[in-house]
Amino acid sequence: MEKVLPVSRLEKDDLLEEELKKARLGLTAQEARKIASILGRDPSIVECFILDIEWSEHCSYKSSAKILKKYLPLKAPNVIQSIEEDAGIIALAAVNGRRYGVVIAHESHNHPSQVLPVEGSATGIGGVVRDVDCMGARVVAVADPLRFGDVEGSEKEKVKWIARGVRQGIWEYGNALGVPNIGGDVYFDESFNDNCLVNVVALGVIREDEIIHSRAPEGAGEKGYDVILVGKPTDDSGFGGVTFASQILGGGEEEESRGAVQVHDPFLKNVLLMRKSNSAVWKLAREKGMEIGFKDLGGGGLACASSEMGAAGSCGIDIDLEKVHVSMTDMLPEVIACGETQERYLLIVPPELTEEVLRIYNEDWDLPNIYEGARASVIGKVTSGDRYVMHWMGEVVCDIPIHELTKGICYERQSKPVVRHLSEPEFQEPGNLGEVLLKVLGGPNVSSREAIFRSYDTEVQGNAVIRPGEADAGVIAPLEEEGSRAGIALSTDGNPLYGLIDPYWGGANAVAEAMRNVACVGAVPSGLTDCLNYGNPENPEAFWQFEEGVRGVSDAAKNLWLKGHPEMPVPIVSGNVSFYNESAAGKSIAPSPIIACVGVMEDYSRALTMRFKEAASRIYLVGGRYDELGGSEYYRRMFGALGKNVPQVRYEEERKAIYAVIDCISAGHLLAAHDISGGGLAVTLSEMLVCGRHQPACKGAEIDLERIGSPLRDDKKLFSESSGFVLEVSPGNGPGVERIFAERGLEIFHIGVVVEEPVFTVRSGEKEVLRLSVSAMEEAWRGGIAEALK
Amino acid sequence: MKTYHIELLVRLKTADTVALTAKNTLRRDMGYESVLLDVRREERWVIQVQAEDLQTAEKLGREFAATRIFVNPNKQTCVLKAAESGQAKLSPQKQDEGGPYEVGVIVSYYQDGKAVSARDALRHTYGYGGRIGNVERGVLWKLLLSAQSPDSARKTAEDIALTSSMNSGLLTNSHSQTYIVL
Amino acid sequence: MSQPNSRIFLPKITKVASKTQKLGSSSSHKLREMKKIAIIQYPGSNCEYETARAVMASGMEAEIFRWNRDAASLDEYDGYIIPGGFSYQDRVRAGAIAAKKGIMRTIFGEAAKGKPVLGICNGAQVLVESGMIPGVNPGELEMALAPNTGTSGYYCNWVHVVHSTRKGKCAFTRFFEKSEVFPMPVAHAEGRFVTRKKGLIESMYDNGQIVLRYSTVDGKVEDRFPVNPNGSTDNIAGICNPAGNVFALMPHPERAAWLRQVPDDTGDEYAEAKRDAYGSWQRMTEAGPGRKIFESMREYLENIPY
Repeated sequence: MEKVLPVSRLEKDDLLEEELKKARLGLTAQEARKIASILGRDPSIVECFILDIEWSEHCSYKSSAKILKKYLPLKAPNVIQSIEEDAGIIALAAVNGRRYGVVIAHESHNHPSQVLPVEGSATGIGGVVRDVDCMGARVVAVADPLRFGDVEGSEKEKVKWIARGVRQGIWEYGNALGVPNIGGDVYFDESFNDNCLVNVVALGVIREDEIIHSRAPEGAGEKGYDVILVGKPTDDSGFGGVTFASQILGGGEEEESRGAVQVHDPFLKNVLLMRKSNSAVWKLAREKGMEIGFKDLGGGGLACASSEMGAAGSCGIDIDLEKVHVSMTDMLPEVIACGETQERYLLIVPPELTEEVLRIYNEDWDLPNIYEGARASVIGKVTSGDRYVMHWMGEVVCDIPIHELTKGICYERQSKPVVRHLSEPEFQEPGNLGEVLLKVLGGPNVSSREAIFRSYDTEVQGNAVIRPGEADAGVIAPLEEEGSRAGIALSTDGNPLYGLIDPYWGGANAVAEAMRNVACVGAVPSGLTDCLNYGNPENPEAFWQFEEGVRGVSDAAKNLWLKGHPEMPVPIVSGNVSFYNESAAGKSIAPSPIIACVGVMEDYSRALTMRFKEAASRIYLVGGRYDELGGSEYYRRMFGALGKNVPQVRYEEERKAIYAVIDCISAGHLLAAHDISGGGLAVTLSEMLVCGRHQPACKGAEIDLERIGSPLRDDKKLFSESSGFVLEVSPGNGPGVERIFAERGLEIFHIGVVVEEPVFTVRSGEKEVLRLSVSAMEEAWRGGIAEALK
Repeated sequence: MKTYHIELLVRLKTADTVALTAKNTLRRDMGYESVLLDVRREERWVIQVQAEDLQTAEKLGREFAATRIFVNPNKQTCVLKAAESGQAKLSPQKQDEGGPYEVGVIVSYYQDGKAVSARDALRHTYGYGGRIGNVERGVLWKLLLSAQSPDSARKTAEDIALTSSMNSGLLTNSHSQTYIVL
Repeated sequence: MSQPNSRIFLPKITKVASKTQKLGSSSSHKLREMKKIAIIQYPGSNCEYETARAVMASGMEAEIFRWNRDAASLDEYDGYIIPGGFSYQDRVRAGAIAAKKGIMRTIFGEAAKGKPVLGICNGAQVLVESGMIPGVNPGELEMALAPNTGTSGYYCNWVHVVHSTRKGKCAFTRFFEKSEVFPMPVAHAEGRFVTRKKGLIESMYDNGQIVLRYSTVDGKVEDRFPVNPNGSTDNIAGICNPAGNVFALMPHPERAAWLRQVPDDTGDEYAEAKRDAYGSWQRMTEAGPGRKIFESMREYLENIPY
């Protein structure tokens, strides 16, 4: 080996560190020595780069693995495949005796999006759909949970630039690819000024017996299976990308980091993925009855993907880097091995299939003419040993025991509770609660998200049942073409302000809210993914926030059981950890576990929207009102205060309420349902009046707060963010609904009635608390974000 | 204060798939195989700005180029020119006799929302206010043509520029766009 | 009129011809040989599968025709649909590259014989760029689909359109009464029909080519966002050629081909029907407003000799 890192010669750590820095490696001196001791010799530069990536936070979860393992519930009766491969799979429905599953992946693309919003958010979608696709699934939906800085604060121009760019990247990529965007959520908080969060969730559907694994198939080593690289020619884009994802952004570095953002190409992706060339290859393999291995190239590029596939199949891999199709001259072997060029896949196929696979990509689907230099190339062989070998210019530039590559490293991080001196704001009850409500409705965290989701294609693929803006969760019917009435609901949640007060309840509330949202359309919360966005894990306080968040997420998942399976958790089937989300000044973002919940419906025709539908309907409140306004929109908008009393999740009541709402919907008892979250009961009721497409003929509502058994003041009843639901029930179904809740031992409150005249009136006994025209509410609510993003 | 024109020519660092597709379509599907040797493409912005002198105008131009509006440094590079209004700088490349000839074609939309938002961003977001006059955006196509003379190269470029039917012309749809052959 | 509203479910569609026959649609079509529609798949197309489903649900065969197959073999189909998506990634201009390929030359020739051709969204852009629409002078570029005004870029939402030509004029609206209003979704960034040719719009009206216009729920053609979602001239949403057999349509009928797909808050009879269908899967799988576009195509093929 020509280029080696002279670890043995550099006995002093500072000299070694210097050498590492010169080579642009992120490894510590200690890590470099560890590599040398594993190999029993000085490592080559290529080997150093590969292990640098394999040992990065992104690939090895070196800070988080212990905590995740300790807490998160991964197993449940409906899990077809847990987190171990690129995406998790839960059971969806059986069609003609065959089981279908929902494939779920959840990723973050936070740091790249802060630097280059359009490219960052676009490649975020690109990566996560590849994760789903490479299981052999048909990608049917994406959703984007987004967190931006304060659009009204001192950094607002930059925040808007980022928010608009992210929206553009999402639509340009997702729409062109042809995957509908069915959900997502958006929060604005100043802690995201220097570090936005751009998470992406992707869903796919797959027949269980058609799952393709990201590993070398059995016997691949002995039979010398071919390793095929498909897609865009490799370049230096994204070289060092995962290391970038784990760095803190500072003023100057943003410029320098630009090279780390990949360039996306939804067009090439469309031809690879959307029931086009990849599916042709899977079909071929099925017809021939041969198993193939299939994996997308993500963080760590070729080296990560090929070593993981080899290790998962207990085989060695032998790659000739000169056979990799590239788009640049004079590329270094470590760049070819580790570059993160987008739109690439790695296949492991029996030699007798190789020619046909190449033909499918290079001729039938004409990749070389779709994108200059794109193609499928045989780049190596699977071997029966355990060595991971790479050749370059006639030399061996990498030769590592494959399991050493993939087993990663693990760090024990220090954890220290954050001590915060929080208090509740003290204030008189405002005289005009109508004005307060309008102000809350117009706030960027409450107002209509139309200005964002109308840029997304919510209809493509033709599977839509319920779209963004119509209910708490999007619903699609992706198996109708197979003859199934099954529906999938998807919601994403995580209120950063709760996490700021208490990271445990931040995590627990995110899970509960995501599940409530899915229940509101009538779907059974069946699987969760978590994207855990936190600050620097080397900072004990940030690490404590992470640990508490994970504990909250997992307590909620374990205690809000999978419906029909008492004591079993709603499983966490996929996820992602994103650390180092902080500004150059060292300020962490608000602890942000972002949860996606997938709901399963046996029959999508029961999927319910949230708009009030019929005059004279009864309005029920589910869930007591407590003095829980910490992190509320009311405190924030009116007093600029955070408060202290964060909403708690009362696990047993929460579970019963979720189940009862689902039962009411499947019994056909409800006309509308909407959960209570940001903005409290007042906002929930308002949204049921104004949501969806603008209609002059909307309804009104009359509410009596005295019907709620609670000693709280009227303003707190209206704006407390204690969890709950509001239900619209036709008078005839009132008793049926009351019975379902009574059977579960839950009290519900009949708080009012839907009226024809579009006026929202709230009383407390005889006293009128507020009275607003629905059109005034609608105006305030629709204007919010649209204005904010201008 | 005088009015200056800042011209920004923005080019992709990576392969320009749009130019490649245009080239392949013209050569393979539209019969330009033997005459059209290459197609390149730049985005062209022209910003009208009030400035004291040429130096100030150039300095402003550099500031504009450094905003996030026109150039994405991750994938683009930019060439900047400033000139006093009225001394228009658009001229064909000087060519060696006998060719091949490079002919430029600028295509722009009649109503271009991006140009309007770029202007508003310079005026308001970046605080240049009333200094900023009109902002124009277009695509500068550079066609490398083998031809008997510069005139015949221009004639070919003209044919390529204006789409008049299914079989002829590609770069401009004259119902929404306008073009100039340099 | 015959409106097959039976449910059709098909396994994964790559080659669909034989399956369609087997699963059939309404019984009246089983006896006759089904008409066969080619759905053109360009690199970047992304609506070909749901379009094929809508075609099959309307009693025709659908076959997805990949761009690099022999264009000459297209002549064996009875009709053509150019589906939505981003053919050639909208390079140069939306639809501009696809318009220059051999496939469109073949389709141009077949259309001249009277075969029906439908371009949806990106397909409409291809028809305009290839001079087939408006086709007052066939093959001549007479219009553009320009970038939307009113929103920043892409806009996706449900809109209403009003049928603005006489019943029977256009092969794809034979089942719509004059002035009938119905909802469909739009999803595009470049959907504004414009022309700089003097008198063209007038002659298109004279020829009955202005088939669908964006309107309010009660059929008023108001030139304001969001009624007119993209700033299109005269609120034009769909244009046919003078003969009526070629149709460029910006909204997506295949996304409104089943009642399930229709939102329940558009304030029209379809929204009401969706609410009535609540809880009944059977009814959710009945036809939505867009289905009639495809059924009109079938009816045209069965009844108009060309």
